Amino acid sequence: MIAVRHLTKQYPTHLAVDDVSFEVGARETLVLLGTSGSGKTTTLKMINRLIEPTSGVIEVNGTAIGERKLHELRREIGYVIQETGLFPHYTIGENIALVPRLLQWDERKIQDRIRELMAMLRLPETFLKAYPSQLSGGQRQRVGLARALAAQPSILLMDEPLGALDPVTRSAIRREFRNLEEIRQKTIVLVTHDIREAFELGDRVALMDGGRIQQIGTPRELLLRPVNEFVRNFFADQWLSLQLHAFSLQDLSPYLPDEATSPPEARLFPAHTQLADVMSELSGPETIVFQSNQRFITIQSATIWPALGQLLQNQSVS
Amino acid sequence: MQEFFEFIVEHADKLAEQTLTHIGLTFLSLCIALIIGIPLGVLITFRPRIVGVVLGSVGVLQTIPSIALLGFMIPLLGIGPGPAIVALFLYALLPIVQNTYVGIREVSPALKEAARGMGLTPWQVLVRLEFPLALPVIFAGIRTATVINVGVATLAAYLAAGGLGEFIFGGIALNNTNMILAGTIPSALLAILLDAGLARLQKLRGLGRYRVMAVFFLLVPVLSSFYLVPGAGRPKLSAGFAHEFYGRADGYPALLRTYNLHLASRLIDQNLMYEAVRTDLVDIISGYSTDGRIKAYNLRTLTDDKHAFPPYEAALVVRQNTLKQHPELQPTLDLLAGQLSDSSMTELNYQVDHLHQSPAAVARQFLTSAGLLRKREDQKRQGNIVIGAMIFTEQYILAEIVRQLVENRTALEVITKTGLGGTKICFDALIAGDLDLYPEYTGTGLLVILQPPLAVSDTLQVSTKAVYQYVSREFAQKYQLSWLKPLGFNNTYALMMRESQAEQLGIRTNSELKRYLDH
Repeated sequence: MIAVRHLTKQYPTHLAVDDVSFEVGARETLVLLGTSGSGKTTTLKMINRLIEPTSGVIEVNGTAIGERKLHELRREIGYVIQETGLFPHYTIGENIALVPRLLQWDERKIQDRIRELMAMLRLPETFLKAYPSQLSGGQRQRVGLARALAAQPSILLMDEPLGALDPVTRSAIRREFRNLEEIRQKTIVLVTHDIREAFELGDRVALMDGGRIQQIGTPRELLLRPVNEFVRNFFADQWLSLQLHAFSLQDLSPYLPDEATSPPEARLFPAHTQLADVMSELSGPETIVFQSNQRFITIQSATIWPALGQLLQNQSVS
Repeated sequence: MQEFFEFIVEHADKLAEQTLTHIGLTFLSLCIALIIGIPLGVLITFRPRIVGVVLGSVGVLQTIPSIALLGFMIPLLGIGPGPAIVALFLYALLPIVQNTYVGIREVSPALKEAARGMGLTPWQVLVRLEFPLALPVIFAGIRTATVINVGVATLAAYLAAGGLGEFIFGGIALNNTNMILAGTIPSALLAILLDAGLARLQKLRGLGRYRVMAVFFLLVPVLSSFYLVPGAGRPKLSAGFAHEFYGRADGYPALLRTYNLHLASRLIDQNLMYEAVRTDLVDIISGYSTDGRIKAYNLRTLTDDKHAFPPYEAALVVRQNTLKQHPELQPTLDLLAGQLSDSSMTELNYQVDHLHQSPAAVARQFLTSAGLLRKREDQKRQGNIVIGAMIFTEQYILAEIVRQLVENRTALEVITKTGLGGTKICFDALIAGDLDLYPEYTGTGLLVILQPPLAVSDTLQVSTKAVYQYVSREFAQKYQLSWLKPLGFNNTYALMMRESQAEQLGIRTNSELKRYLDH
């Protein structure tokens, strides 16, 4: 869907992006992770041409973006930013309808789409006539997402979308986003400086520093097989908790007891659930169960860590 | 207070007309300033390089004193509503351009980027985001511009464009406080009302604000058209009167009384009146019969066949104390008696007004050719006298003639105070001892100062001599002031028209004018 080749942005004072290349497949989420000044936001803004590259090529759906009409290209790409960028003088409804109206959709279709999005993002319809300043930060963030999704773009660019929110709201909204079917259908490039956010949302993560991609890969690859000291040090602080984001229940199945039938009173989880989500759901010595290869596998908070230990040992051996 | 209300009631028609004109002038210039200023403010947000030049230029315009800006308009564009509106427009430009620019610049860059990122074209970003968000700031600029314009529009009367300034200028010229207040209070009220109204608009929140502001933008052209309202139904000929003429008993009121001649009049600075009739801004003016411009502009002086205007023989009015103190003064001044005829005075005025010679040079030439100057010896100056002169050419010249003559023939030092607003001001200064003498006209002394009962003035008016005798007797008794011998010319009020138009309409006398207007 998106191919970036040898992208470079040279400012008079410094080199912001230095020969960056990557591809993002359909329905994949790529996270550009890095500290401020690493070049991640500059890279993102070159994809919708808010910034023009000094050299390099970006293709979207096989066409070089330089050959597209600027505003047409942008209307096909959803754009979500920190603080949401909602128009303060537009109502919530008008904000969401912005791009469909630019595309001259039929007004009935626009209204249907707004209601669909409001329901999907659990925003009460009474908000439609409210102004952004009357909403909480988390609600505004959802409206920002609804606006980006409104015209059904296949690509979403997100620049620190949750940056303005407090940690509790952040993780709640993050989980909500991740579980939305419509978002899972999108090709997403997301910029963040939050490592947990990157691991939780990214299918792959590109860790950037000094304008270059230090390493690109799945969270698991970055965590377990760092290519250099920089990458290793970057994750060192949160190494343990990041593992819970890097692995799912499925990954643990070889190291846990299995049974032919589900034990009574145990809660059933989908096998792809991230361990971090499992941990946050578990309270006390509860047993939960998931299905793998027609077998039921049980797990308790006490058995997660030993199983994870075995998994990591095997990973490092192979 | 009582007198003030009487004045208002008496001049209600004129006041209503002036107020409408004033609103019209304010909003017409504001309208042009909006049409040009807002796009200019928007343009410079796209062209950062010219921001300094544009804001600098409109800023400099704002620093020009308003009366000077209007003064500049006369040589550039002449007089009338056009130049006045241009001046007001230039004045209103800075707050509008600057606030448009600042308002748009202050819209958060992140928001603009978000808008562009979603695929809005630069024009859409401007119309949907920047302009609406800048509107409160722009409105603050409009509010400032409106209030400034209400104030500056009072000066439009100086360019013969009408408005509440007519009464203010007239009141100053006539030293008539009620007249000044009749212009000042409505214009102040207008400023306060508009300021408060626009302030309320600015404070509105939400969607309502945009609706009301849109209504305001539509209202501006409507209010602008007020300028035309008083013009509708204007009679065949329009008149431009000097403030003094309009207010003085021997001026327009005399014309009303004697001929029952009602004219739709505009009050104009007496120095611009001739320009106004020359450029067809008005058809009739209240000129002075010795003015140099009668000749220069080819004007016809209408004969005052029913003697509405008293004779105005020019003579010097001197404090008796001064004459006693400086016995050499009277014989010296008497040398001037009978030296100036109507035509020679007109010629002197013409030289100053049209050939642009200085009054001092013209006075010197006159004195030399009349053989009044003695060979000059440097004298030590002892004592001084103060000469006053009103604010028109003839008085400047007369003051110079007196100054040069007295300094040539006596040891007195002469101080001139020229440009005084009118008879009332000069007379009061003379009584107070701030002036020792000034050139005055017999008819003015009679009707403005002495104000005898109508019966007395009507009988006197027919005879030039009788008026002179009456005023010199009365001034000596009542005020201890001496009228010296007449200078020789009679500078009376006269209605004037363009020669070509007067010829075409067959108007030679005031009665014929009255007859023409009645049919």
